[in-house]
Formats: sequence, C-alpha cells, structure tokens
Amino acid sequence: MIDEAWIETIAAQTGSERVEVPPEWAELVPATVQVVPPGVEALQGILAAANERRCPVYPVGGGTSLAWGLPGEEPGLALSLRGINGVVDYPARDMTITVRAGNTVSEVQETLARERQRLPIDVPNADTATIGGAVAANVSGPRRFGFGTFRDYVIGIGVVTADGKLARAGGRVVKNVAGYDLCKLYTGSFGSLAIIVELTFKVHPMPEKTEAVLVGCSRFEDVEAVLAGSLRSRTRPVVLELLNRSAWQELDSVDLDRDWSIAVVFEGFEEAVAWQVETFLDEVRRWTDGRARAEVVHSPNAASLVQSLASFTQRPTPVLAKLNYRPSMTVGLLEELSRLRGTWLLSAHANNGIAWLAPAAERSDGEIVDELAQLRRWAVSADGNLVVRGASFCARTGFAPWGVERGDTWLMRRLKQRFDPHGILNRGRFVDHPRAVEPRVQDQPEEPETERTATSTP
Amino acid sequence: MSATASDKVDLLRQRVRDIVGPDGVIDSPVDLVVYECDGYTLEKQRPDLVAFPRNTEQVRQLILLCNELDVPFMPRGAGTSLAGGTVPVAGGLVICFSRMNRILEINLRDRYAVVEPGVVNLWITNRLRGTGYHYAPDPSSQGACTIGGNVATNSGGPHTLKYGVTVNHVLGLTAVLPDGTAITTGGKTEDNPGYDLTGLLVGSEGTLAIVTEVIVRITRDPESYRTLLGVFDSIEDATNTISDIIGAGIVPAALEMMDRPIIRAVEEAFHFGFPLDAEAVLIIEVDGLEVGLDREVDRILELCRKNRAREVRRARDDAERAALWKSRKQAFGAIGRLASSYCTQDGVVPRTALPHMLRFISEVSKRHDVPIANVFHAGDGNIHPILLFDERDQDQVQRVLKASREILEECIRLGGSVTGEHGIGVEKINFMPKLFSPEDLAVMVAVHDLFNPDSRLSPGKMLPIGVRCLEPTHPGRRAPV
Ligand SMILES: Cc1cc2nc3c(=O)[nH]c(=O)nc-3n(C[C@H](O)[C@H](O)[C@H](O)COP(=O)(O)OP(=O)(O)OC[C@H]3O[C@@H](n4cnc5c(N)ncnc54)[C@H](O)[C@@H]3O)c2cc1C
Repeated sequence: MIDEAWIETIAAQTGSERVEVPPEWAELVPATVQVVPPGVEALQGILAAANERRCPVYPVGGGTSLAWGLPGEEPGLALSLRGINGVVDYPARDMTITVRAGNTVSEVQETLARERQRLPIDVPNADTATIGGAVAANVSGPRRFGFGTFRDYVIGIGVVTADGKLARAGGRVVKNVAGYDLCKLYTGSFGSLAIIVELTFKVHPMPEKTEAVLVGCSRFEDVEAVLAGSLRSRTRPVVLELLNRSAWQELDSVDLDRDWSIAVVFEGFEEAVAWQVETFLDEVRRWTDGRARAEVVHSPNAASLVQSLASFTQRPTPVLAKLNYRPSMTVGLLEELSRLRGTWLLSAHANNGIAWLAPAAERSDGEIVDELAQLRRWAVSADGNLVVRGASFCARTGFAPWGVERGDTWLMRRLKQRFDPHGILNRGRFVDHPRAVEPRVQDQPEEPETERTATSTP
Repeated sequence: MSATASDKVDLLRQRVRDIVGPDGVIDSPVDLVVYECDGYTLEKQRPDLVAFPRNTEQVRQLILLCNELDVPFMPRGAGTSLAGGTVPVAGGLVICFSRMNRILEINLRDRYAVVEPGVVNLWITNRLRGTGYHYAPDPSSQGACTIGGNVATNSGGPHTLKYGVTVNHVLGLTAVLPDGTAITTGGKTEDNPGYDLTGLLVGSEGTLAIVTEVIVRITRDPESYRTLLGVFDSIEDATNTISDIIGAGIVPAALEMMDRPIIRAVEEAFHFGFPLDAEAVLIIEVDGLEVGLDREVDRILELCRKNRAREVRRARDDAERAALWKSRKQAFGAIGRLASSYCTQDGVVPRTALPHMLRFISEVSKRHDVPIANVFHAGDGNIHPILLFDERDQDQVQRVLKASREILEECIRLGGSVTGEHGIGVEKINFMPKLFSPEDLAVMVAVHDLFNPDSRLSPGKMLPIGVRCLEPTHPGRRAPV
C-alpha cells in the first residue's frame, strides 16, 4: 500500500501540487495521486525521498504514451512533468533550442514557427504530448523518411537520476563529442533510466512548401515498383506512407477503388516541390506501366494529410503493433497480412521498414494474440521485431510488449539496474520485467554467467 | 618502456600467436614504435604487443586472454586520432584492425552496408560509386581513417553540417565487451526495441567495447552541387557571413573557412589559385535538386556581398570542385610549410559566436606571441585553431599551452565544447571536469564501470578516473583536420 500521508508530506516539503490521477490512466499507472513539482529542484527532492523509501515513481508527461509497456504493478506515485516547463534558451540564429521537458510539443513547435523553424518530427496529439514524453517514447511519424528521428535532433539533455541528482550530457552546440552520448540512451528509454527535465535540439528551417502525391495500387508488383522506384527517383520524397484499404477508409471515409495507397510528400523550395510533383507523377506512370493512379494533394491540404497520417498511431485500439523489418520486404508483409483471418489496418513508413498495425474490428484477445505471434515471427525473419502498445491487453493476455529477446537484452537489463538500483522508475514497465520480452527460441544462454559461457556473434 | 613484466609478455606473445598466427603479431621494439602514439604525439607509450585479428572470434579470444593474464588492451584503427585515442597508456596489447577490412555486404534497396572495422572510410563511397549512393560522414582524413575509429570517435567532416555525423549513419554494431562477451546492437533495421546501445557505443572512444562489425546507413547522392569560394578582406566579414547564412535558415552541405596563413600554405602546396592577399576564404557548398539550387546560391551571394566579400567564385566543373576539396581536406599536410611544430585545437562555439571567437583567437595569438592559423568546419561552429611553434624552444612551448587552454576555456564560457569531433582521448581528460559537473560525470562513470569494470580496456581515456591527471607540458605536433 502506498502511504498517502508520506506523499502529502513530500509534496508539501517540495511545494508540489497534488492532483488526482485521471481514471483512464488507472489501469496503466498504479497511483492515485499525481504530484506536480513546480521545478527541477522539487523533482529532485521527490525522487531522492522516493528512492530512499523504494517507492515506485511513474513519470507522466501528457499521458499520450502511457499504454506502452506493461502496466505498473506496484502502487507508487505518479510524477507529472507539466510543472517543469518553459523555454530556457532559443538562440534562433544558431538554430538550436533548449526547453524544459514539460512543454507540450505544440508549444515548442509554435515557438519555433515564430522564427520560421521547426523540429521535423511528427508527434500526434501534440497539444497534449509533452516534449520530454515524446523523446522518452521516441515518437516518430511519416517524416522520419526524410528527416530521421529524435535521436538525430537531441544534442543535449538534462535528467534527474533515480537518486535525485541532476545530470547532463551533450551540450548546446550542434557538434560535440565530449563524454558518452547519453542523449541516445535516454531517447526511447520510456522513463526507466532517469527523468528527462531539459532538452536541447538542433532545429530546421521551415520548408517553403509542402505538397503530396497520392498513388493508388492494386497489385503487389506496383506497390514494390513505387517503393523501390522512389529510392532511384530523380525526386527526394520526405514521406512515403503506405496504407491498406481499411486504414485509408478510416482516414478519408471515401472508398477508393484501390487496395493500397501510398502518400508521397515533397517539401522544400517552391519550384523544387512543383518540379518533384510533376516528375514523380511521370515516374509512377513509367514504373507501373500506367496502372497506378496518382493524384496531387496541394498545400495546405498536403500538410494536413501528413498530420492525419501521423495520428494513425493515436487511434483508440486495444492493441497497436509496431513492426520493424527490412524495407524490401514490405510486399512480403502485405502477403503475410492477407494470410491472416482477421483484417488489420496498416500504415507503414514503408521505406524505413516500420509498419503500424491495428485490428480493424473488435475480436477476441485469443485471435489477436495468435495473429500477433504470427506477425512477430515474420518480423523476426525480416531482421526486425514486433512491439505492441496496449499495456492492459498485454497484462490480460501475457503477450510480451517489447518483442523477442535480442543479443543485447540482458545488457539493457543490467543498464537499468545500474541506473536505478532500487527499480523505482517505471518499475516493471520496460525491458526490466521478466515478461516484457519474449524469450528467444534458440537455446542461447540469456545472460552469460562467466566469460567462458559467452556466445559468439549470432 | 613496457608496463608488463617480461615473462608475462613472453607468455602473452606465445598465446597471442596461437590465436592469430605468427604473422598476426608484431613484437619487435623497432616495429612497436609505430604503435606508441597517433596523430597526437604528446604522450607516448609503447605497447607490449600488437595483434592483428581476422574475425570477431579471434578478438574475443584475445580479450579472454588479456583477462586471464591481467593485461590491458586497446583497439586501434589507422592511428589518425588527434587526441591520443590510441596511446596504450598502460602498455599491454594493442588490437589492430587492419586485417579486418572487408566490406561484407551492400544492400541498396534496404540502404545499408555491413563492414568490418578496419575498412577505410573512403572505401565505402568508392565501392558505391555508380550506384547513386555514398557513405555520408567524410572526415578530412577519410582516405586513411577506419570505420572502427570513426565509430569510436563519432567523426564528423565538412559535409556533416547537412548530413549529420557518424552516429546518424550507424544502424547496428557487433562488439566484444571487455569480459569477452560478443553482443549485437541495433541491426539492419530501424527502431529495434530497447535502449539505443548503438548510440551509446558510438563516440565511446573504445572505452566500453571493441567494435568488430558495423552496419552503416548509405545515403543517396545529391543530384547537383554548387561550390563557391568567397574571398574576404577581413576575418570579421567572413565570420559574419557564416553567421548570417546559418541565421537565414540556409543549411549548406558544407561551409568551411580558411584564413590567410592557411591559404598561403595550401596555395604553395596545391596551386589551386587562391588569392594570396585575402584575409579569409569560405568554401560554401550547397547541394540537392538542380531546380531551386541557383536561388539558394543567390541568397548566399547576397549575404556574401552584404558582408563585403571581395569576390565569390564558382567551381566551373567537377574537376575544379574536386581540386578545391582536395586543397581543403589536405590543408593540414601543407602546414609543415608554416612552422616546424603545430598543435590543433578542436573547440566548438554557437555559430553566432564565431566572429567573437575568431577575434578572441587573434587576441590570444598576439598576447602570447604565438602565430595561429585557422581552417575549420565553420557551419558547425567547430573551430580548429592551429598554433604554430618551434618545439625546441621551451618558452614557445609554454606559451602555446597557455594559449590553447585559454581558447578552449573561452569555448566553454560561450556555451560550447572542447571537442567537436576529435574526441577527449588522453589529451583533454583534464577538461572533462570543466565541461561536466561531478553528477554528470558520475553517470558516465557508472556506464563505464558497467561495461568495463576493471578498466582493462583502453585505460586512461576519456573519463578522469583512476589515472593520473597530468597538466601537459608539451603541446606535441598535431595535424588539424
Ligand atoms: C589529417 C587529419 C584530418 C582529420 N580530419 C578529421 C575530420 O574532418 N573529422 C573528424 O572527426 N576527425 C578528423 N581527424 C581525426 C581522426 O581521423 C578521426 O578521429 C578518425 O575517426 C580516427 O580513425 P582511425 O581509424 O585512425 O582510429 P584510431 O586513431 O586508430 O583510433 C581512434 C580511437 O578509436 C578507437 N578505436 C579504433 N578502432 C576501434 C574499434 N574497432 N572498436 C572500438 N574502438 C576503436 C581507438 O582506441 C581510439 O580511441 C583527422 C585526423 C587527421 C590526421
């Protein structure tokens, strides 16, 4: 049981507000009280005290990514980052910005937009999601094909460690190799190593123009022709998003007579975008012998299209699967899907080899688990993996959220132990939980006991 | 001088031979001299032995052996480090990767290449020629330095301004931990689950693991280039131009600066046709689609003119572009013409602070009566002041050291860093506590100790732990980028 009186004391001591945990988080975060420290020092005080008591702490930003991982099991306190916000420094002419973690992504983007700059990373629910949470969950969207992910933009980071120390890595300049690049380690660590309180990004200029071409295909060979073609194209698309019919219907509610849609986006100088749209239309015709149908989506609709595409991952669904695989096997994935009994909505950053899948209709957990297992096997055979967002679903079904164990999973667990010896940070939600990762089938030792039993390269 | 007792060395030699074969070992004092330092010659230490493994398994065996015999060990690529990254501070075994130099796989559809760590950076791009792809990180030393060394130091280069540094182009690694366990991180695919151990290992200067295989992202070639040479009558005008270009939201593919002493040395060496009376030149390259490129050039020309550029030349063709880049990338080779010894610093400042920083460097130069030449990655704010001196003159040596320290401290004061790409190595360990708080360092040490608890791998590098912290008394002779 969590000691409410202790929470009250620690909140009072650090000048932190206490608010209730919204009921929709209850299944994910076993806490009734959310403490909102007003600043980094208060947060340090809370963590130090919690660490001393071994009290689990569940950091929360906007709450948009809480369904990742397993639900927390042990009661603890929810720690909101919303009070730690504001822009620390924005030297626009250096094209970097330093912000606190609790700003929403929209707040950061609006600040940048005033100087005609942006972070070219698509975060759905940007009005709610905090920038710290987005980095912790390593959120990315369709533009990652052209611009990469947070790992390519975070150049400095400030975190509070499990024992309440403020520690930084990186810096505020765009190039810097002093010390370990812990920015990489915290990005995508889901609040399990330390709590991110401050971030420095390098940013990009806003493009002059955004336009899109929408390609419709009904044959596998045409899908591959367009995907492979766009890697040889004279143009340089920044988005290549592949949707199946059911996913497109959700997006547009128009039933187009095609099985697969590929949204191709161009950004940059006005004349270059116009030229690329024309050129790409031509190329698609050639690649598919005129079979694929292509239409242009002009601005500003093209930008909204990217936004809708990005919001796919935020649709309410009991479980959302993310597959990573070799991009050349995209059509293989489509074939695999057609072999399943149920229908899945598919939205894929196809030339990154990242596919998002959600069950199209309500179905039994058992059926979904069977099909996820089949897809997971497929992804592993394509040199990738399959993770799911759906903490309650995973708790219910025993399906491991973080994929099949890999050669470095044991090392990740040790890293977690080292950073957070008492396991207070998001205890049991990330790879540290024994059921978070599915064991490998091969009989390789999970964790080398001594150097002698070590395995060689798989 | 060797730190390891001689019968232990005998045993080591014999067992290493068993692992890599008699032709895979260097142990004669004459040959070992090559391995006592790298591009940074201030600190030297001869290893007891150098081994040349051929595969991951041999690396593993070597490491197990070093653990068994309690001998320190350290990886080495081409030895072009400028921070003493390859000095075997505690003697022991140097594991050199020149025989693990195969490009194992190239996959254009999935946009990756799998290479061994001894592959020379430029080989990948050379192999890709004609495919429309290249490997983007292009350190000036790319004709010699290895991917293993690049991964360890997270190398940059002129074109990393637009395309990113090494870590932005590494998808996965095979590495052997200091206890002999081989691991794989990341992979041929993006977003493998769990912590980004690949990102952690890149830039760890060989203090966490030895990398034995690297999966790199390959990048499409740009359709077109425009390469400009801006000629300026004052350094101030040139640095203001840099600041204006970045401030206008233009991201050139590369933006490099050379000042007058460098221009002269380079001109004497390569006869490119640089104006000898100019105070500074900027090499500005934009790339991308042909359409729209000239508009970007026009914006740049306007900013150059606004800052009183005397003249802006355009490379007429590929040959002239290649000649210009050759002059830039081999600028260091020409520095021998300026002084008998030189010391290159590697600071970073916010780009808007460049005009101030260059003024500061010139003041330092006057104050300590040390000539300083500048050739650097201006677009990234990554300065490389080259301090010229005669190493036989102790007084000059002391002045050079003072000047170097003042320059780096000014970088820190401006919110920058003491190394943009060369690494901390042994050279800049003393700056770590100036750049990071004890709490910051404690986390790094915790990571270090998890991977490398006995510091048997690459001892005395990067982190100020368990080693004597010497204030340098001699600045050495180092090449700039
Ligand atoms: C003329 C010149 C120009 C240069 N220009 C640039 C530039 O533009 N940009 C830039 O970033 N640098 C530059 N450098 C610095 C240097 O070339 C880079 O740091 C390069 O990455 C070193 O590669 P290397 O193979 O020579 O590695 P080495 O010097 O042999 O080793 C460097 C470090 O990497 C470690 N290491 C080597 N192999 C492995 C491995 N397999 N696993 C783990 N650790 C390993 C070593 O222990 C050492 O700490 C330049 C150097 C010179 C001499």
